Amino acid sequence: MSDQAEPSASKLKAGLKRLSKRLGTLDQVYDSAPIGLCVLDTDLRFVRINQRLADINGLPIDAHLGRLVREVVPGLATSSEALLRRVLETGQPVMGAEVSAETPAEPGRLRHWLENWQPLHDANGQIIGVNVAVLDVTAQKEAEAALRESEARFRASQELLPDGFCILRAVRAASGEVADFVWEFSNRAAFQLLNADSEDLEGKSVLERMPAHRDNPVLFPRYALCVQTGAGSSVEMPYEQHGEVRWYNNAIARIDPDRIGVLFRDITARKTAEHERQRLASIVESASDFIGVSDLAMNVIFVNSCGMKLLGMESAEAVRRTRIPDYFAPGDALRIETEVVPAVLGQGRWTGELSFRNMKTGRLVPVIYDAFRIDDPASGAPANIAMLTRDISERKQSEDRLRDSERRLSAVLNNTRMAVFMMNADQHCVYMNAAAEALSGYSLPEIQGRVLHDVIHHSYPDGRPYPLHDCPIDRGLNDQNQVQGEENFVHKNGRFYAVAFTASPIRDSEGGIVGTVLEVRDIRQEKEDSLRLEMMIDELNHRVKNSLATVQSIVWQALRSHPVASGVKEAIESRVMALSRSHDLLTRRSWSSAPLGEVVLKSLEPFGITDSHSERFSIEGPEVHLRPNAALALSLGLHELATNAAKYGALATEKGIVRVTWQPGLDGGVGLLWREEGGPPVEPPRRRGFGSKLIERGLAHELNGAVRLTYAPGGVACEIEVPPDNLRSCDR
Amino acid sequence: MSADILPGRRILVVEDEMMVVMMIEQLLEEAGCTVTAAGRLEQALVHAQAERFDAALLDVNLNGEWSYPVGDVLAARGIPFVFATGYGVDGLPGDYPDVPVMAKPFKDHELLDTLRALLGGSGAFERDPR
Repeated sequence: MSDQAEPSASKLKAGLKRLSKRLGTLDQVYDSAPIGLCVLDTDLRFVRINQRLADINGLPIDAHLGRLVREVVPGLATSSEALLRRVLETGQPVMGAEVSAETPAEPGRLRHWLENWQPLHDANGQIIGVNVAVLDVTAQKEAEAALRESEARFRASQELLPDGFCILRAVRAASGEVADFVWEFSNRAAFQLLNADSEDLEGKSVLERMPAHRDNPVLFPRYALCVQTGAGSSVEMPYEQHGEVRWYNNAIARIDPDRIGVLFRDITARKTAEHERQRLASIVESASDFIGVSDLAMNVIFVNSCGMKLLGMESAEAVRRTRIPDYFAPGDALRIETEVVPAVLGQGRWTGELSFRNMKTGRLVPVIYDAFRIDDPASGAPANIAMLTRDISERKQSEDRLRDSERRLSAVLNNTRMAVFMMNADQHCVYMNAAAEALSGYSLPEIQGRVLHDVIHHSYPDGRPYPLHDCPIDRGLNDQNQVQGEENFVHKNGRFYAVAFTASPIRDSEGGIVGTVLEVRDIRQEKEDSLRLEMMIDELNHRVKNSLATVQSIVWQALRSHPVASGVKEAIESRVMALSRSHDLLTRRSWSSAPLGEVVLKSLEPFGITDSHSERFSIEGPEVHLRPNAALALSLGLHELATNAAKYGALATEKGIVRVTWQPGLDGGVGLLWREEGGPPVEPPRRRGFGSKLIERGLAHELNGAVRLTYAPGGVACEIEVPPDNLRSCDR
Repeated sequence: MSADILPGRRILVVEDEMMVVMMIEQLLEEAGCTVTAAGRLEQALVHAQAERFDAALLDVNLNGEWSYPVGDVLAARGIPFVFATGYGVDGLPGDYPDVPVMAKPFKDHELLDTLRALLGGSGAFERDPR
């Protein structure tokens, strides 16, 4: 190879010398050309090199000449030696080869060149070397790489960006006005937010894709303005999406006179929170309770309008000049400092009843004060004190009223001698007053929650069990009516006691029965008294009757011993009998009263009335009750009238009858009329007998009313006025 | 009317009011009866248990004591009797639904008629309607 190379190199040199002499002026061009130039022999040794290429390589020209490429630029040899040899072998030039290598001039920096390699021929056409032209494109390559990297970074950042980002290019009408935009770029978030999924938006018309933009008075004009003038803007707008409204922040900036960048961010969460906060704020403002917030040193930061009114504060500024203790009555203010706020800061909460003091009027307002600590959500450290306070003046007043009424009620219940039990709907005793405890022998705790009947009314006096369903008190509740009656209750000591009771249902507002009030009165004494009274009246009656019997016996025996006219015995005896019968009537009602109808019937009994009936009498009148004196007097009077009628009047004949009628008089008394019919013609008596005197004077005197006895020819009549004093209003 | 059945009858009269006893004695003796009178309970019981009677008149209340034990003895011995009472016929205590009752004071013929009825004389006895 060196045999061949020697003559080749010397020939090339000689040739070049000749050429350079011929083209002497071209040397200067060669050496100062702005592109690197060199000539390599067939061994790839530098034969010639210009300054530009020597500079690129970083070595002086002389350091190249006669040396192999491999020796001068080792990095270059690896990539280009094979190609250079092929040029030498084939004679085919290589144009625009891209070569990269580090050079001695700048070790560590990869340099890039575009190189043309052309074979050099001698006169015989034999290849004697390679002409190399080198264009340094390192800066260009580096710029391209930087651009590629920047773009990749941009795309990556856009893909990672949670906000939607688009680049829109303006589409102008012939007039130059912006008529539409087309998408040039959209990131993933934009696809999602625009509901485009993987659909490629690039090149699509914004107005076609989103027709709503055409009519949107805010967005499209802003886009157009931005691209025309460069005026960026940011606007928050709601979009309806899948039936729900979402909020976006839409920010635009101009990129160049044809493009804008649009950044849109979903701010629904923030907006929702904002609305929530506004709603809370309006609740707080319109609340009818006091709501306030202070710092930990009790300096008030906020009080709602209700609270300001309650405390007599005019403005938010006035509120911020106050401390919590300012809101309270002096005693409570001290408690706030020493007790309440320490508790809030320590335990987190304090609730209790305190009194606010209106700072303008000084009026005290009873409140329920509920204060709690608000901790910073991030650090957990105490941040504020919040206060909720309710005005309880009205509740206090109604409580006071209730207490008063309760006091009155318990005064009544605890002082009445009437025993009062209260039962719930299950007949369980829920209350008993002091009298009930004394009467039953039980105390409320012993009896409470038990079926009252089973405690105080479980047996009959004869020992038989008394089931609840037979109890009239229970029945009264079931029938939903008030019930009264008399029963025997069982004392705690086992003894029975007679009581009069009234059971009244307790109703709720709907009228349903929720319990029973049972009033019970001890009637043992009453029972004894009435028994004693009955015995006394019986005894009295017995004695009266015995006296009358004695009188009658005396008269009877006296008249036996001294015979007199036959009528005398009868006259005396019948009157004694009449007196006795009227006593019977009164005895029957314990000497309280006697019904007028019975007085009439009883008086006329000896004259043919049996079983309240007789054909000879017509008796008619309303039920009226006479006091004892009036009953006795009237009874004797009627006996005299009947005796007279039997002797001389209507009853002395076969068919005569007597009508006895009475009716209420105007004065509230009674007018009674005795009228005989069908008797013999009547002649007024020549002389007033004992009988007529007893009627006209005795009866009139006893009744204190007028009595008129008339002897009309058709029959005797007698009008008897019974003034109201003689009557009893009701049957006792 | 057949012959009076009263003459010869032995009548026990239990009554504590002396005047009334005297009247009844005279009345019954005039009617031909033999009268034994007792004013106190023990006395009446002795007579009722020991002697023979055709009929008896018992005042219910003997100075505060009930005469029912005498009634029991008479009933056991089958001697008919009538109660006399100042209490009135309505409120008569005791358990003698078939024994007639006369309210004091009573008339002389009332007593005689009642005794005749008791002795089964003039037709069946009808209880005083009162």
